Amino acid sequence: MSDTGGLAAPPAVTYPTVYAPPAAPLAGTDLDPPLRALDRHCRELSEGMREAGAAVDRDPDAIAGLLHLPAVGFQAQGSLPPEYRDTGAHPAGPVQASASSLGWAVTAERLAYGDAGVLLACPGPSLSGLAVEALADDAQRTAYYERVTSAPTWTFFGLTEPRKGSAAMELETSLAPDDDGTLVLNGEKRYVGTAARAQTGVVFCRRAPGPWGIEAVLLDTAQQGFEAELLPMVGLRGARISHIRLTDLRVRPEQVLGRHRPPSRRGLYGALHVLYRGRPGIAGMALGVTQAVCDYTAAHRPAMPASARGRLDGVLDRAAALRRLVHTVAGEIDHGVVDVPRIGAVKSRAAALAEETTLLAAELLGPASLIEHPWLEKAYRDVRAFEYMEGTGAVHRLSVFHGLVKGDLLGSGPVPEPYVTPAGVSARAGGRSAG
Amino acid sequence: MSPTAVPTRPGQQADPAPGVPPAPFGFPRRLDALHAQVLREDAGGPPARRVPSPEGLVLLAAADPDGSSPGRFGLACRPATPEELAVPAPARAAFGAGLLALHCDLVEHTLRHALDHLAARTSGGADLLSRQLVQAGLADAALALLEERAGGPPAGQDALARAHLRLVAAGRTLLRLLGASGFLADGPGGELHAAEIAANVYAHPGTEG
Ligand SMILES: Cc1cc2nc3c(=O)[nH]c(=O)nc-3n(C[C@H](O)[C@H](O)[C@H](O)COP(=O)(O)OP(=O)(O)OC[C@H]3O[C@@H](n4cnc5c(N)ncnc54)[C@H](O)[C@@H]3O)c2cc1C
Repeated sequence: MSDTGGLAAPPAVTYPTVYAPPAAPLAGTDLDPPLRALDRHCRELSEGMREAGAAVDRDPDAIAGLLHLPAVGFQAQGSLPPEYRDTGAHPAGPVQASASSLGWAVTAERLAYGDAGVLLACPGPSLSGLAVEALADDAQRTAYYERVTSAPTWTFFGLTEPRKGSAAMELETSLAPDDDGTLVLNGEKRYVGTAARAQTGVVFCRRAPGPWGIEAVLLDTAQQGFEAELLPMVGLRGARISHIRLTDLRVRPEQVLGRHRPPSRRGLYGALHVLYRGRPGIAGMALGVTQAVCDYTAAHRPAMPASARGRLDGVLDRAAALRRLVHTVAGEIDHGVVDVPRIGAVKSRAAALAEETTLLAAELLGPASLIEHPWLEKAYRDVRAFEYMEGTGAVHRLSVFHGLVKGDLLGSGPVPEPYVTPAGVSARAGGRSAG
Repeated sequence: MSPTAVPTRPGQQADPAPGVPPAPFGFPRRLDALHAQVLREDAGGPPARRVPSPEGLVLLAAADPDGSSPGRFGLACRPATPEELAVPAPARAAFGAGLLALHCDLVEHTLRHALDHLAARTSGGADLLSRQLVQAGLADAALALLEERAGGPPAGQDALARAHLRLVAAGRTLLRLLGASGFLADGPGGELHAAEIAANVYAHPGTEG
């Protein structure tokens, strides 16, 4: 395209070797002893993730050579039923503590402090596991967990489509019988994490009009009719968002998740179940990077004027408050209460804070900070992803407004009814199951 | 909030082709053209010299799609040569004003793309352009642009830096409105990132906090 202007080959990116995540529980946390032990464990596991993060940013498929990192194996353990966990490799206490929504929020924050892109690049059940947990019958569940634990297995959760993102309930991918009665899947999915590198995953599709016409199908990516390619991402490249094309993909009846359930407890129910539970984890990741950026900025500019320090402290104040809120909503999920507006609110506020923090750090670290601090430049790109993941800020703001009008968003009104969406979908259900 | 109908814009597509990235603005190429224009080296081909930043760095077009950032976004940074460090103040000021104008043009390009993109996406039977939250975001970005262009050339490095920061905010608003398509490297998300790096190198607000 252009000349190199006298440039030599770019040097390999190296980040500062000093890595000192806060040892004490992070401000805003009030964790019981098992969760505090989990917090400490994940803090230790996050060592080495920065270097891995640089490699994954350069080539997201580099994760395949990083499977030996303890964090990579650990992050998936809590999403497995106990009988499928690797008890030899990971201490049982932290694994068990990470199996709840709150445990996952704590884990996600500490590991994202290391590197959020690596966390998202890891093999394991991730969101597809939550869908299986919510919907699958015993045979489906057994087949799924045997598959994902037999070897490092990447999975995906395919909801968003090229023409339907926020309006996911209007999805158009179709599941229809062909001439011989076999169910056939046709359509496209877009921005789906890991799909082009996954072995299995869940696709949401439409068998009939209306919200109850949505189904969740568990696919094998080796099936004929499945094609996926990576999309070029600005940041958080470990998430490996992909475009999926489904062409006459033949679906066996046992691939339809929750086939034993009534339509109102199948596809859409499963999608919402997963999204509500995924959001505290995204918020945790956003707070982890926020904290990391604050710590990095303070370490690289120890003699900061009071005005600059005050701006950074303002971020930390907000991070502490949001952390408390994330832990509250995640703890509620673990007790079967899903406060949809508040869950969305904390996710979108944490995402916005992370973005603001990187902009502030770029300012405070001086001219050309985005060149001289490659780690900051990467964090600056990475954090923007949290805005879109599991619902945009605008969509969550509208939900907050409805929460405000309807109920107890600010905590002083009457005790809220379990949330019921306008379509009548009950969001009240259990947390990230420990199996 | 009920959708507010908007008149169809000329050239609006009925059905977006989401796999096709929007027409590129070409920020790195235009950055090099600005270097050439200011240093009167626009005889074609890349300029031999570039304008240095106040700290003595040079940012130029140099794509490295498989490399690290900022090469992936079409940019490279190197120390200025002694010849470049001798570029006089008026040329540096002209470059500063030109870079701000380029940033404005890129935000406008993104705004126009966002209008088309959102007009072609539907939710609840209406296009996204008819949502008032979306309209407010687009209007805010347009107002920021209007204000920047009305302000005239910023007096001094700090004023220049403040103007870029306002444009960064407007650009981010638009990228949020583009949904995940605003996070693709081969679209406005990648180009605006390149512009943000350029502002960070050439027009930094200083370190007084
Ligand atoms: C890193 C990353 C990972 C992702 N991983 C996955 C994944 O694993 N699986 C998956 O299925 N998807 C995934 N996504 C996609 C994500 O869920 C969508 O980007 C998100 O739902 C928004 O959809 P959209 O991008 O199509 O934006 P759109 O829905 O097109 O929205 C465009 C703009 O309009 C606004 N808007 C939309 N509707 C309204 C409304 N009613 N009122 C007001 N404003 C509105 C939005 O806030 C946004 O600003 C991922 C995205 C990213 C960036």
